[in-house]
Amino acid sequence: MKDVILSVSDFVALLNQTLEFAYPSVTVVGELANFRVSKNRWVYFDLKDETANVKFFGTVYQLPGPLEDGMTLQVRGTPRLHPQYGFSVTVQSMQPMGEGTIRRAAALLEAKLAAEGLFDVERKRPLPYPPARVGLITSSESAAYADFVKILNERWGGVAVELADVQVQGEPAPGQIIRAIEYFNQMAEPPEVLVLTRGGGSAEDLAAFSTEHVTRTVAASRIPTLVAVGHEVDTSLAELAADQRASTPSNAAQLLTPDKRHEFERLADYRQGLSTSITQNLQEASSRYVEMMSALDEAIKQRIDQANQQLTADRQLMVALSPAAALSRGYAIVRAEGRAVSSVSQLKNQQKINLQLRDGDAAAIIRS
Amino acid sequence: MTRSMNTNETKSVNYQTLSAELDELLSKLQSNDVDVDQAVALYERGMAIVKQLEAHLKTAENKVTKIKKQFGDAA
Repeated sequence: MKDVILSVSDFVALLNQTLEFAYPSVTVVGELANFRVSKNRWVYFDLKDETANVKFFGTVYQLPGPLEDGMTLQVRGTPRLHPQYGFSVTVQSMQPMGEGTIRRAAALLEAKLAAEGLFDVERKRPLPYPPARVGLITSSESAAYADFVKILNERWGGVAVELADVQVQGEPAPGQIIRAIEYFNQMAEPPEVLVLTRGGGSAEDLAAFSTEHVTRTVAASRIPTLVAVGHEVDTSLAELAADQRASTPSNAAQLLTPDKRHEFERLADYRQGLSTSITQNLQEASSRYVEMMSALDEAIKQRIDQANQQLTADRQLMVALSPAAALSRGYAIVRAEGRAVSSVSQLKNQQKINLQLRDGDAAAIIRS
Repeated sequence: MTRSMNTNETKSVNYQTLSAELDELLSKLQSNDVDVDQAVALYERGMAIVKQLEAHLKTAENKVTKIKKQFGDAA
């Protein structure tokens, strides 16, 4: 090597080849310093410890959220010697490390997203109760998955659960969770609700649930979301962005479904209510019928009485008007040749006539 | 056979919708605005829904399907 004389450019190229071969990817943990963003796109910073300081270069899309100097970061990247600007590591991914930094990063991000209105109560949509189809995003090997399904089965039946098996911690977790949420949202017939869940863990274990991209994807989901992270004091940002949060995976299953036993009781109440109502309804109808019948009876009776009275009056009138009545009062009917005579012009001298009186007939002769 | 019947039943019963219909139907029946024929029809429909929902509670099972797609790599 000592006999080889290189141009500066060749030296840089050779060094980069060597670096690429020896360290295609390195992961470095250190304290963030000189953090700055250029043109809203490029990110420059250093990672340092007590004795060393290394430059890094990346894009804003790789940021886990707002950062500030002093935070502890774990950065994966490719070491590279730039022809003009010297040595730096090109960032592939970066995440906050350590309890303090994670909390601080989450607080900064929370403030930023809250200011944008991502956590506003007005954005919260109601969840279907109970849903017929659920998109479940969790690790199939986790206790969270087992708990959720167990409680769901205890409480309710008939739910179709579609499981997106993802890692819920570690570097690949945010990307997998985001792709799962997007997968469900792009379905022609998406499920009615998305459940994103995992059990409790350290701040680092739960970091995926507080990254900016995951939080934004939860907030942007067209499908209503339920996010549950087990037994935590701090609420993850994904939970804040969700339409509803649950305290544990079991609690998520509880919030989604009624309890079968209560539902049986409720249905029994309905059965009772229906019976009572129909009985009342029929009783009322029947009492209305009885009232109508008696009203009808009364009306008919009145009509009959009226008719009777009319008949009596008519009979009296007829009696009053009959010839017999006139005869009994002393009138007589005069008949000549069998016909009643009502005028003297009908009579001649010496004509025989017949007189009908009250109690019999008599013959007579007309004179003059 | 039993399994596929359960699946069909699951699909046919939308618990939420039927439950809401039952609620509406009962308050209509209680309102006294209905004549006897309507009341009897409401009662019969209500009882049929109650039976259907009870059967659903007794027999329906949850079904978990794991999505084949891998979420490990950006696709």
